[in-house]
Amino acid sequence: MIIKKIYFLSLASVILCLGLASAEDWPTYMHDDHRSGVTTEQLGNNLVKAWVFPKILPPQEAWADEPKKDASVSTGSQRPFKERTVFDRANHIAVVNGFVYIGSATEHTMQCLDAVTGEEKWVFFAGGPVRMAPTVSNGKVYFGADNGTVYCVNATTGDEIWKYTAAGSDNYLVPNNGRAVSPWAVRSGVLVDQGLAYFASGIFPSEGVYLTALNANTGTKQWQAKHVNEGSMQGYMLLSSSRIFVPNGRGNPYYYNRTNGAKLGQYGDGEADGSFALLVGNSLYFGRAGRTVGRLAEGNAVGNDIISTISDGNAIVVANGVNYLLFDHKIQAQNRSDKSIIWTANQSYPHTMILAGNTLYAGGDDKVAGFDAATGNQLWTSPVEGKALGLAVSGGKLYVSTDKGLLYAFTTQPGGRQSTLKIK
Amino acid sequence: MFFHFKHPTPHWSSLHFSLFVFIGLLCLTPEWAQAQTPVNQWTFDQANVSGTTVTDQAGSLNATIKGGVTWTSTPSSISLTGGSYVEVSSAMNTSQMPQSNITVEAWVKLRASGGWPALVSCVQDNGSYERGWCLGTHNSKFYFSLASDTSLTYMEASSSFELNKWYYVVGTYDGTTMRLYVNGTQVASSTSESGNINYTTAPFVVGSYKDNDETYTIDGWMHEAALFNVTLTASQVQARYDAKVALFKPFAPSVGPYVLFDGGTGGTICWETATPQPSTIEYSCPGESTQRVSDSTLKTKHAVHITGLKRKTEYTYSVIRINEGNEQSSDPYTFETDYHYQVATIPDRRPDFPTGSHDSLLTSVASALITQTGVTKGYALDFGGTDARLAFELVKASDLNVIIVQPDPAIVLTLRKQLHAVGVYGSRVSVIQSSLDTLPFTGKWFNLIVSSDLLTGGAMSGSSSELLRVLRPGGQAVLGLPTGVSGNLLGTDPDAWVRAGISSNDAIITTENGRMTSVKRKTLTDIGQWSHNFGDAGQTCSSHDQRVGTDAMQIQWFGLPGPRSFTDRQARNPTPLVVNGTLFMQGDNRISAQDSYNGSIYWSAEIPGSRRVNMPRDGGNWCADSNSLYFALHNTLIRFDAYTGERLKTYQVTLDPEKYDWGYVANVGDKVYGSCVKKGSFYTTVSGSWEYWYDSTSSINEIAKICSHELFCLNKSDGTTAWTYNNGVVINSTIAIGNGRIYFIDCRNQNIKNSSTGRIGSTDLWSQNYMVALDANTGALVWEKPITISSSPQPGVIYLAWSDNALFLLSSTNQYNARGFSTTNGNQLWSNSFAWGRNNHGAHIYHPVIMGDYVIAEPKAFNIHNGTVLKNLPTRQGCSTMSSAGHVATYVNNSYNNEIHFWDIQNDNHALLRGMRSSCWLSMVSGDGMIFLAAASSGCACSFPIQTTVSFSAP
Repeated sequence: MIIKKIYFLSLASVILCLGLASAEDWPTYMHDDHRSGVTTEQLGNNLVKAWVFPKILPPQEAWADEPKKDASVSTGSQRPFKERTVFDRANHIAVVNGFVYIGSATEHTMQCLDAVTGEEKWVFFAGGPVRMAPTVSNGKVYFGADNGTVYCVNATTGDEIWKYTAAGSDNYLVPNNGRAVSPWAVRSGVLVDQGLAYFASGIFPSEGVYLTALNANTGTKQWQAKHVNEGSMQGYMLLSSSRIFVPNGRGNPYYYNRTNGAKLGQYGDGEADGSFALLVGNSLYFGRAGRTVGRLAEGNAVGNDIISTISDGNAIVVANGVNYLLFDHKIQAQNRSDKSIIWTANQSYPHTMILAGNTLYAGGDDKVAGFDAATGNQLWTSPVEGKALGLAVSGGKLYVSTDKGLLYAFTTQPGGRQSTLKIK
Repeated sequence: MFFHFKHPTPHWSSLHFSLFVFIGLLCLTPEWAQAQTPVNQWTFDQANVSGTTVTDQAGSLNATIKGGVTWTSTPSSISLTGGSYVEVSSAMNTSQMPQSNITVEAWVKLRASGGWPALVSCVQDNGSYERGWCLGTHNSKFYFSLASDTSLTYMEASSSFELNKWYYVVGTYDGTTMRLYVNGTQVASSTSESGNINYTTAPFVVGSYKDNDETYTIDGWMHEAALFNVTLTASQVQARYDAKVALFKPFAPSVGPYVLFDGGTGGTICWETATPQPSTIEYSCPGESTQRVSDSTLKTKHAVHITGLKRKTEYTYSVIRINEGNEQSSDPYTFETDYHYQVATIPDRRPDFPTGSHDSLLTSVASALITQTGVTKGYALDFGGTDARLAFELVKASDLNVIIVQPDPAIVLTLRKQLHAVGVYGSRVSVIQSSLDTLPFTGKWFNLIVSSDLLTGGAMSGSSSELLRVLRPGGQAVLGLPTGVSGNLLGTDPDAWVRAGISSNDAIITTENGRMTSVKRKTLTDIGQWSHNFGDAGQTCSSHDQRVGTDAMQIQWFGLPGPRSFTDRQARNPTPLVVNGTLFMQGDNRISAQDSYNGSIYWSAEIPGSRRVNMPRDGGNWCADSNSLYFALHNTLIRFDAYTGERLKTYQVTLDPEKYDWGYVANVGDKVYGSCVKKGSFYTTVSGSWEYWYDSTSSINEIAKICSHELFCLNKSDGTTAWTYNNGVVINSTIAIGNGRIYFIDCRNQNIKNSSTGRIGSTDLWSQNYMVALDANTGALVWEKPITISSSPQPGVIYLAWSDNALFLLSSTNQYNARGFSTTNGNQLWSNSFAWGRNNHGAHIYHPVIMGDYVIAEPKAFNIHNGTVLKNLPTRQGCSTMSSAGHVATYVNNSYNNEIHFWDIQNDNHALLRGMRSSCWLSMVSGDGMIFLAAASSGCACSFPIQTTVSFSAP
């Protein structure tokens, strides 16, 4: 089910395709199946707004906010709770070959935009809310929806290639805040590697949750494992050579055998909770909430132990032997080997962070900024409307997704225009 | 002092006289009454004002108003805003000012904070040049500064002041010590300065900081400012505060206020006044200026609608009355739009819906459907829908969400495109491709079912039994033209199709001459309800729902309310209620009503001051019947319409409403039951200490019982009193109603009767106790029996419950003491004392759970009639108490694995659900054939993956 649109590309738009830096795709959430948030692409420091793609309504998140605090502890120890299930509070994207792919939980759609103009190329209607960024691989776009189904569509045309529902004939829909949602909603994203498409399906442990590997070309099942009363698979999944890591909603993550989906373990109870996860070498960082404070934990990605914790950490990006740590009111570069601090930038960009070449980009409240990864000096900043929760860099552009449902494209060259809704 | 120099002769005379009087007063009056006469005093009452001149009522320094001001009364005050202030002198001769002993005071209410606005000042603070003194504010804190040398010492209160609230602020200096008082209490002191105050020529102003190069005026109201040339003592400051504080008591509405979130981005602020008043409110949120909405019509019941509220934002508001011609504001209240659960708005920036040949018809049908059925909220299903116009018009005209189910993929795509184009696809309408013989939906879902295909010329297809399966009990299917739409049905008469699959045993089927067949699904059989805090008026902690089982329970719906709306899970909060298709949730000063079958929020309200916690010692603050919710608020009981949230009626306590609040709440038939509890008795604190887990075995701060000085019964219809009972002080947690009688335990000890509080921790409560049975309709005494309650140590809890024409009493000392009583005469039938599983995490305060004659008093289960031990239960983890349906108990076990259990006592089957938690008390209830788990684990930071409200349904 698609709508195809043909738009006129102006000469200026074509010119804008010619980015300054070597272009690299951003094929999935946080760039790759480790969710590294790292790309080699380097943008200039004079970014200007190329276009803004507005959604009709802001994202309708799956889960309501955490309470403000744990009231049972002494007043002086009460700290604002960190939100834990934040994977769908902005429309995260993938960018491949000059096209932007953006889903919507509000509109139940996957859309393809022209990266130059921000104009819609096609729209695909799923059978329910689409909460996660797609993965684009070999000309196909893979994504799941809250109706319990994973879709594979043609990246150029939006035509459906195959779809698969893990719960099969057991699948059914229930009311959920005005919507119709399956207890086996797909809220893990879909990862594609070595010809297989991996995804998780299921919210309620008591109903059982599925971990599935499909032939990425045909959608035929390679294996499927059902786990009852063991976790709620929600958050962007990750792949290592031997394991599948799946965030566990507001809890702490599980990990599974990559060859058959068998459960291998779960990281320590209470160390750090939430849907953030990042795989670096033999470390899985996850969190970002502790019992009374924010916290990231570093789990042994080939074992089960906790290696370290980072108090109040919101996110981490790792590259070139440096941990880049994101806190509420500062960004810090830390030598990965001895944990010595390289620099600290006292800036409030608490939501998300990526590394593009030598520039860190971080999202804040109504603003986004770039920082020199070597020094922490702020190189560039721009206002945006809403919390900047999603970042991506590809094809000479920085993309910023906000909780207002807006997608901003910033480019190193002036030009472009604000997109308008195109379906007439 | 400075008057001596300005007017030496008369003042020396005055001084001599004053000294004479002063010495005399020293002999006759207490210390707090001495030396309180200011040397200057400006009371901001228009009676003291001539033009812009404010008379000095103690001395001769008249002041001048600078800038535009307004005046209010009750209390009299000047409103300073936009840079206005009051100037005593532009260049004060400071030799006339107090030199070593000084007191400066002000009554002030601030509208805004930030920067350095001052209340009274005579100061220069220019770089390193610092002289004089200042009583002021810095951001949101009061301060007093003073220089005895060349540097000002600034003392700041540790706590912030609240906006829109009156404060009495005093600074004193005695040559060695500076002190700052707020509302009579010392909040800061300093000995950094000594000797005389170091002055220079400076402006002497009120309502502003002002020196040679800076002016910071307040935004707020001042009632009075005064200066003393003596140092008032702490007791004198307190006395002056006490003498005046009554003037500043804010306007308190007789009911409310509260905010009813009732559509779109708006809300309605509701309150009542004792006398007819205009309806005026002011509200604001961070970053935006205060807005005022007013209706000049005089009335006692007020409802002001406001729109354009922002998402996830905290607002402050106050309601305003006219008193003696002047405005008087209430205390400021707050509400958060996190609790605004209305459906998504329809964007207005999209093009119109594409025109079609049946637009006029379908628009008329949408309107008529709402009129005919009264269904305006929840879910509608367009069964086999082929024209999206009907869904579009329905969502425009109501708060419904619509799902179109259609087997043809091409039609599905067309409808999706049309709805997406007008901005409602996904957010309000969705289209699902499915066979009409087997729908992909859980059952009992839809409030309204229609067919656009039938209206536009088609015929019903698929299975009508499937239509009935997904129709919510009480829901309606209207197939064809609803009442009020003229003409002939374009499609095929659906009557035969309906009757082929739907029995009149299950639904009421109505036919209108081939134009329309309607189906109204009947209420399910064998369902129960949870109408009171502990299940029913008998306090059985059971819904008695026979449909609820363990094996085939499946998720019916999940979603809102989320955890943020609830009171922290530790505080032993009131339970949800389930009655007649409506689920009521009580959050933190919040209540909501939603469809029990599909979770759609009907309405939600934020009600300041309504929080009550520690239910094991209270008993509850709300109940429901088939159409209404009854909610205790201060000295009233508000009856809300279950579907709309409209305030249908307000009942009053039977004793003095100035002294008593509404305690116990129950309803049976045409009666409501209540009790008078002395004001200030309820437990309301939830934050800041483990104490507010209310888990102690002995702390009086946690186990003192909420008791009533009068029990009463009112007629529901008109609120008239049916009867009252005040022979003893009634322990609220022991009030149980069953089979036409009301039972309770009271205390007739005179000390308890004379108690100034209804939260009673005195051991006298356990003397002169009686178990009493009254006729529930007339209040006539049926019987009463002296009863001895084991009280060494004091009972941590005491519960009385009625079931199956038997009474069960469970109390605790250092173990549980269970007893059965005859309802005929109150005779004790049996007793059993037994150890609790542990003395913490709630295992020592469990409420009994009664399913027929089977009573669970963990860790034992008894026959309620003869005390036979039926089962010994294992100790379980977690801190919640059990609840039950007809034969299924629900509970938490092993809290760190987050296990919820459904246990069928008939066959000993267990269903285990991991991943969620309950509150630390009672947040799993049953009714309408379902078990509901509220997101009441709010505040718990443990590692469980899901924190939401969930419903599990029997087939």
